[in-house]
Amino acid sequence: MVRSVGVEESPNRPPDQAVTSGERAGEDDRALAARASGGDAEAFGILYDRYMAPVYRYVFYRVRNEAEAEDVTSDVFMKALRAIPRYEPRQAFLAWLYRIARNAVIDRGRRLASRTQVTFEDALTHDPGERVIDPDQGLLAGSDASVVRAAIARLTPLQQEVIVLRYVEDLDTKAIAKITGRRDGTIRGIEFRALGVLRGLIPSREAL
Amino acid sequence: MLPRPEPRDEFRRALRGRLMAEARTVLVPREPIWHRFQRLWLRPAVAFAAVALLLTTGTGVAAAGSLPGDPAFALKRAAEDVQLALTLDDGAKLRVLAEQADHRLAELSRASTERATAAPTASAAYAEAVAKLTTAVDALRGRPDADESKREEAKTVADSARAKHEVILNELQRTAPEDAQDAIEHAKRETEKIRPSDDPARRPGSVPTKSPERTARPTETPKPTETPKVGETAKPTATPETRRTSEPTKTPEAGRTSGPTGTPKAEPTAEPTKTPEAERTSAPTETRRPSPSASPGN
Repeated sequence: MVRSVGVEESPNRPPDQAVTSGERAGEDDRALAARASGGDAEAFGILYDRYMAPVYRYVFYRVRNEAEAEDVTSDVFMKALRAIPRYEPRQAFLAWLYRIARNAVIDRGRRLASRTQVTFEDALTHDPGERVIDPDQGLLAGSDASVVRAAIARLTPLQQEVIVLRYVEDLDTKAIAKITGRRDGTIRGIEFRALGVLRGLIPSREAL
Repeated sequence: MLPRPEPRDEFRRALRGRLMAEARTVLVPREPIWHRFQRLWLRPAVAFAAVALLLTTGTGVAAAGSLPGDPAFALKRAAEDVQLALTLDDGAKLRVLAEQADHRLAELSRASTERATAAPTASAAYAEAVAKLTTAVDALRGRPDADESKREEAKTVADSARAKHEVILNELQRTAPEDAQDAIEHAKRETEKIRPSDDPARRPGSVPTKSPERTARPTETPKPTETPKVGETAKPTATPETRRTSEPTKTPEAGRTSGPTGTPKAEPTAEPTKTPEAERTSAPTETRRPSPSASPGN
């Protein structure tokens, strides 16, 4: 099931992810963000508890290894903490965080003076944790996680972003369009092309 | 669906701890909204009313045509400050600042041709406008939540302002009287700074460019280098981009290095060094000579 940013939750979500829903935690993101920008540190803490894992996953697939994913995730939340007084509530909080994460990944890539690269060894060193595999997602589900991750690293940054948000975070194209600042149709096109590239890089189940 | 890696619990807790510690200093209680409103809106509104009053009384006409250093120029600046304060969107603010830099350049151009004594002040006012614009470009690009299009927009504003100003200043340098040349040269160096701080051309160029250039400029070495450029630049408006890249990297540095090195400073230093040395060496040599001749005798 596909979801929109920070609103509905997916039924196949792991338990900690279910807690991230605004409705279940009692107070919605906008109210918490307003309290945080007014000086309430604990309100920011609740937002962190809700969205740390999605941000980590978003970053994880776009950098080389777990250590880098942790570095960038720390950077994202530190930046969010400092920028929260400027947060505009008309934008979903998670979308705002993704935007910060996106810039952090791009900046890191620039600092490293080359595009983010993942080697097959890097991919193999990480235990991807709980695997939620939808048998209908033929191409991605039929392949080993490390192979998929290394293949994603071969995509352009925008293709990586779309694939991660679509197939890891389970967002719909509309939500991805909001985060990336592009049109819905453009996102579909990017997704289509990215899957085409992945198809060439990932051996199919039959081939295995 | 793809695998969903989970962050380590240890990392999750450690980061939370750091954030909470940081939050105590970063998240300060905000003043009530009404106070902020007063600060953000009321003051510019009062200033706007004052400026409007002055403009309607006729002083504004003088202000509009004033040059930096003129008494009426302060009024013109006040009106610009109000315009800036009333612009809320960051992108629009950037464009206003770019326009203000355009105005300062136009004033420098007028001062150079009509009143060369006012040119240094106009050049300083231009430098100030450039600094404001560059700071705003960096601020917008540095915002962690700024999307890529905003960042790009900021870069575009900076790049197009720089391109335009380079063309104008090159042309001005060609036509302006000698008295205004220093001020124009100063403005040209400032123009080079209209770049985002992450632009590779800004960092290496900015530090060494300043000091040697100032000393070397009066030598007039760079003039022949720039003259053909002006001729080329003046005609097509779209072309300057190519020239811009080559210009700061190569030409001025070569001009600058050759200037100070070529200055006959080395010769005067060499001459005095030789003279005392020659005297000193000859004196002991003469003293020693008699002593060996004396020793066999002894």
